[in-house]
Amino acid sequence: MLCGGLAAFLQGSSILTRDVDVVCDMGSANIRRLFEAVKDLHPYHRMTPGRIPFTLEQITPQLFQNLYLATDWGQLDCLGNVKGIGGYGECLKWSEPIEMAGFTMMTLTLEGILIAKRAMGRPRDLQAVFELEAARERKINQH
Amino acid sequence: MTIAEFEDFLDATKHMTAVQRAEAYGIDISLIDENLRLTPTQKIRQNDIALNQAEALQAALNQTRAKSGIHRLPTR
Repeated sequence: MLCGGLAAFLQGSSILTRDVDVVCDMGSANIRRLFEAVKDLHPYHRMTPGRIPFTLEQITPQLFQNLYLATDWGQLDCLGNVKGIGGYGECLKWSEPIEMAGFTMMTLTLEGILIAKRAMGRPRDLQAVFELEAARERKINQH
Repeated sequence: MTIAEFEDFLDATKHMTAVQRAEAYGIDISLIDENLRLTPTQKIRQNDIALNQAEALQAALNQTRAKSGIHRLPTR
């Protein structure tokens, strides 16, 4: 499920972003599925020195809380938790499907992102909060 | 902006609408209006195009500086 800057951008923020943040079930079965999805994109752990490749052998039960990957297509951050909301199960309550290029994916709702951005509280998050509150107001006024 | 200045800003703008407060914060509301007009696919494409343009400009600047002997900017 999309949860970071890209989700905010999809909900109306104007802030461009380079990485893709997703919140997901960090259990080993799901991380294996994630590995299968990205393995041809030469993923490696971007937060570790030496660009250690992300390999199937690393996947053991409860090994990862978060996965910060770089791939041929860009950065992919897989988070076990979204600040202010919780894990994947909690995030589902603040999510909506989004149709894009023939696929359906889940993303945090505008309200969900507002909760997360307020909880993070960094200056860039606060700018996103102001933008998303303005976007919400615009949406309400359009209806 | 310090925390105190930010709190002052919140206090001074508490009676404003969300759009007015965003504008007071320096946000270009026209960018948000433009974004809201796009489909999700169009938004992702626009994000990619803007980033690619920024990288192309950065590369062009680095090439120009290299020719003139000025230091390079870091690239991704």
